[in-house]
Amino acid sequence: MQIVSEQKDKNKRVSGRFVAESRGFLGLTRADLIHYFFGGNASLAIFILLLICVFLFKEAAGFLPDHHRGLTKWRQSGQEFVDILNVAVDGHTRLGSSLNISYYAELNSSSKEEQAKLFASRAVLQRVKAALRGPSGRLRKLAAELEEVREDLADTEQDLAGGVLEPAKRALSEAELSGHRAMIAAIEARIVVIEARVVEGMEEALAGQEVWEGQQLEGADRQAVSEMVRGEFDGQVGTHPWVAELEQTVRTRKAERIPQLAGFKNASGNFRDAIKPMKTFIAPLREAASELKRQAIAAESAPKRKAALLAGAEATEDPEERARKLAQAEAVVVEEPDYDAGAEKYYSAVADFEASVAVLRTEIEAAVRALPEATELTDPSGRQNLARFRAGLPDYFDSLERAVARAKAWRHDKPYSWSRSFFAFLVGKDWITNSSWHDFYGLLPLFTGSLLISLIALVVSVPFALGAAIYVNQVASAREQNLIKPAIEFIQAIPSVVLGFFGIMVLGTLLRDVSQLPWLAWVPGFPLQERLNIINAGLLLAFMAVPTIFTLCEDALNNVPRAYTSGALALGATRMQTILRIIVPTALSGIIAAILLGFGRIIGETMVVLLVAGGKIQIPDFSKGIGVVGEAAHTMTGIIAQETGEVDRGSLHWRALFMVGLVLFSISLAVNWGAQIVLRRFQRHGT
Amino acid sequence: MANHQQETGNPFAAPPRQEDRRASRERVLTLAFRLLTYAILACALSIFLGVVMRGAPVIFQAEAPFINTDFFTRLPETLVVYEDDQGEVRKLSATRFEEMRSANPGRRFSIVDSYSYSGGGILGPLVGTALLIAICMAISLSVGIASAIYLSEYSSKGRFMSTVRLAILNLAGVPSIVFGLFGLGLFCLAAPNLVPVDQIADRSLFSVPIPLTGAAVSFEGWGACMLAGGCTLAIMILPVIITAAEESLRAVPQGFREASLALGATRWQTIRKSVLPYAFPGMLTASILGITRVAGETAPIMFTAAVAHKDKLPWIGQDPDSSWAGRFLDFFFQSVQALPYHIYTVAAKIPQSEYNKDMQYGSVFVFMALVFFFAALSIWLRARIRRRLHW
Amino acid sequence: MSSNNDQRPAIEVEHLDFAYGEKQVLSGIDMKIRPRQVTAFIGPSGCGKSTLLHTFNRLSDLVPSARICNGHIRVLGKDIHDPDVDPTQLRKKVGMVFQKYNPFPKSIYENVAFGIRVDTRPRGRLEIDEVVESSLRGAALWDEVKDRMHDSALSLSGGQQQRLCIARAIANKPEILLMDEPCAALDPGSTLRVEQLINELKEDYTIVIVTHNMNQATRVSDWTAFLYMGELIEYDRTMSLFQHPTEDRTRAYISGLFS
Repeated sequence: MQIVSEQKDKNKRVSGRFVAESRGFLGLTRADLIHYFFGGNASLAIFILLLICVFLFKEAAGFLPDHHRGLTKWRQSGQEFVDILNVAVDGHTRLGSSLNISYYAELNSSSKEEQAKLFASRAVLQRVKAALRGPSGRLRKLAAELEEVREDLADTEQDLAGGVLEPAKRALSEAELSGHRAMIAAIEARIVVIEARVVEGMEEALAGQEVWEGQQLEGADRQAVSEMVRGEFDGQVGTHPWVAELEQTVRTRKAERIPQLAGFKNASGNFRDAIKPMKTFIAPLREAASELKRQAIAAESAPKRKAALLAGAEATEDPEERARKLAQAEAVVVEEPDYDAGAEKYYSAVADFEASVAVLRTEIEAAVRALPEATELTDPSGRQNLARFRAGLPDYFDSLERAVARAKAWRHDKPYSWSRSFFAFLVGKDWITNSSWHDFYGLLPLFTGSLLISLIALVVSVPFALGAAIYVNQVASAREQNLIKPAIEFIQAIPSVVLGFFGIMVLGTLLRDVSQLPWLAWVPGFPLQERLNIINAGLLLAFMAVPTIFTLCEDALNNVPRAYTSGALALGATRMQTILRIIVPTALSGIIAAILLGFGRIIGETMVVLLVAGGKIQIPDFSKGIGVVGEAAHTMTGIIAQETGEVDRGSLHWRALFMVGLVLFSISLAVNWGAQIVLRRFQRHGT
Repeated sequence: MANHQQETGNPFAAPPRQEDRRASRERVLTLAFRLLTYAILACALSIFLGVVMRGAPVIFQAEAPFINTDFFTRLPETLVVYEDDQGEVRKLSATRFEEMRSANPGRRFSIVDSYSYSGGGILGPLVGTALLIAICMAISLSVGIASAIYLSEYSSKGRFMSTVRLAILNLAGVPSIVFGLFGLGLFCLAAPNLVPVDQIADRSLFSVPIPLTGAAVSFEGWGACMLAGGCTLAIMILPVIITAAEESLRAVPQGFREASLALGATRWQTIRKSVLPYAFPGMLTASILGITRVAGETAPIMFTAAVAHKDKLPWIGQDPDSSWAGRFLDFFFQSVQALPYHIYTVAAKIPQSEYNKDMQYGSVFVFMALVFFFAALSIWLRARIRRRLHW
Repeated sequence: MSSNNDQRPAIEVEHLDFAYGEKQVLSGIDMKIRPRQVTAFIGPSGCGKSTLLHTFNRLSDLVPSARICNGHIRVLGKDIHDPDVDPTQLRKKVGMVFQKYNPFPKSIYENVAFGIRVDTRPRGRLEIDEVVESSLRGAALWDEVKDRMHDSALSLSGGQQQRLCIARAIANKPEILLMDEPCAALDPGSTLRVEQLINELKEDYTIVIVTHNMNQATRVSDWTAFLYMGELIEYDRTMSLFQHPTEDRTRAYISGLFS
């Protein structure tokens, strides 16, 4: 083709007779222009890809220096030092909560059932009340109105009874009197009507299933709770006997248990108190660090403020105003705070910290000696939490040792290394923004969230998508194919925000209800605490990924030469043997590429995870094993969608979000590239 | 073995069960694959039915005109939950509530609760989505088809070509939220805009004053507006459009081109007269497929175009004094409501209660119906093309 | 038993009508294929010779619209469309070699072992090794590949790949070997090797070969059937069919008037 056109050009030049087109713009023929026009459009794809890089980089560019500066300030102001010291408090808090849970689980274990019943009865009452919120509110309002009118009535009556009124006024008052009485009657009538409605609504609610759902109340208990609810609405004073009895049992059982657990309680109290000196020790340091940081931030923005004031002074005509502004500008402190002076306090605190740690340790050890062994406890949750406490103790002591070592080694003027500030972003464990202490931009919680959700989605969707691809491509009749393929295209068309909505409205509740079924209690992570969590998002994304993976897998299977199929069948293989031993292995690289591309699609998906993942910026607690899927999480895509609209343009936070975007972009390119490599190998290898 | 055959007279008999577990394995596997397939369809069906069962009652009603016209002719507004003097709790959109209150001065209504964006209808989001789709398709189709023509008609294998293809492939894999960030960075904050010299924004990268007009070209972007959103969406689906258009161009037999060229037509005449008309149905399908994808996207328009609240339709309230060009620009430089963003708002950004379920399910139902309509259209068109065009 | 088998025809076709959908491709075929002999099917393209071959191991079942309208096919005396016939067992007894060599993208060893691996009865490593070796020897390929059994089969030359396919087929120890233009995709040298191989194989197997090449038919076959437009025109000993064709169409075809 190319040659033909060149020859044509040559002909034109030689003979001149066939020059049909005039030389146009810049000596290009019209055909050239058309050619370049189309070529230009095609190259737009490259251009856009470059532009995406440029603009992501442009907005993210300032992140690393700004982040580095922020971290340097964190160090110089001593916040880093305080954070090192605070490890002692944080670890203690975590351990203390395990201990606490253990103690109360143990205390309540003898009256668990009763407490559950009481809790359920309260929940039912709450639900009934919620259902009758409208009429009840109205009743309250009417009661208030009634009260008001009655007061007016009393006033008027007093007027009439007390003084000698002029006849005209007296007539007026009497008219008022009857007006008030009529109103009272009307309101009272309304109250009766609405009260009847409330009672009716209550009975209706009690008769229905909704208020009882999920509560373990059957038979006589249900009867009793119904009575209690009725009593509540009747305005009965005092507790219902069923409730009173239960409460009494709980009290007695607890009272029986308390002396047995006195040692435990005492020890856990001692443990709790052990940290108090440490807290008092850290508090002033913390304040000093905050103050230094505040000054540092003020100093950073000072030149700008000063310049603004000076410019303002320049602009004003009024000499007085100008003088005032100049004075203000003069007053702005541009200098950085004296970090060295501030740091002395920290250096001198190191020895005290070491001493406090030693004291803390002895006290904790003393307290722990008085604790019962986990095996002595009767309640499973009590045992589990106490065991967790004991297991965590050595780690905590280690962390204390490390904290002391780090505090000793800490220097406020040691430059913060660039690589460290970069890794503080890439593998930082905290993403904390808008904090009064220090903002941390660590990608890890978001990255783990994204990765975990995507992996779940992949693990769930691949069997379905691959199975369906095999079925449609190899087994299904033509009629089935004509049903399934368009149906899967429809699934692809379902907008992600609709799936997210479905996750909030239906799937979340469904999953939680299922997880609360008693016979499923053995499943790790069940019962789910949250409605919006990793597994919910993972399942929805799995559903989203099915069409992508299905289509690509089906293509890959379709590309397997028919000769292989007939060859295998002619050797006496069955249909499934042919599929599993010949067709799938031959298409394997295509299938792997499909899975990779599906992964790229899932990890870049935004709306579902934004709506459904739960939005908790924290590294999921992997110590729960598979149960981790019940946790709420946040993702890279979700954080961009959620926060970009709300932060100041050009701020560190804004740049951090663009950095996250850059990471996502790189992941998508890497996934694509991986798929390309796999596919190319396939092309070289196949046929 | 041989004797066994001789006796039964069937050398090809299936071996006895206990010897051959293949048959049962065959059945089990087939069943497993079938179950996996139909499980997917069952999930899809349950989502679909869930939306229809809660959404259809919002849209359709028993008496004429059988369709909830308010839902399609009003903008989203606050939903008021109130209690009338009979003690009944009812809900109405804010304007309807005010109308009723002024129509019945004697009666007492007390407001129990109110929910933003949950009353009224979805006219604003519908219009906004339609405009976004229109802008996006106008841009992406012109650029996409031109690129496809280049790739299929002018292409020669070479470095440039393979780079273009690689770029398209990679572009297709970029997450939509990254397109959103990109659109925000380019169209909203850096694209050239025509502004009066004294109103150049601080964020402008640089500006070039145009002499005598008092205006300047300032690279300060357009802010969040439908043009920025449309462009972002256009870039996002460009790979889809290019790939599909190229496919339909390649489906036109080579003979058509050769015949045309042999008759002395130029390359462009050949493309225009002998290739494009035959590729047109395929391109139509591609563009409808594009619409399906674009309509459903939320992430790219979150910060480039969409707003939750807007109290007028885009074409209302334009400055009657400005020139037509000014009005034209003003029209495209305003933010819009969009259906997916509206769903996001009512589903996630306002408190949930039984009272705003109607708005949620109604919007989702209409949205799904729209997207499915386009999806069905493209499937149907493609089937038709496959049946009709055999060359 | 063997004498009994020798007398009985290996394949018997009775009044066979066969159609793809509405299009009838075979009509009224009647023939008996003798055991331990090579039978060649010749005829112009589209005459139905390949289709007929594919009905013998029911590989034609794969085409959804394919159906037998009338007649019977008996292989080793059993009607292969009887409900108690297991197609996989049939295909083990009736091996097939295709026009375009189609070894699987696996190692040479795995290609030959495939038929055993998919069999009902699991077999030990040694037994498989033995079958692989004897099959490769049977296909005259052993010496060429014995040192690279675990290389990809696709690394072999075209002729070697086709012989590998033959080895793969005889590893199942079939009674009958169907060959669908086995040399169509090969160069002359490789063709010669395959033809030699066919001559060796007919000692043990009944071979039915479809060929386009009349010289090949004369070189390898004992019997030749000429098909034209879905009908069996003439079926005779190869010598007599080529030297004294009784039908005009046969004469016209073998003298190259049409092809």
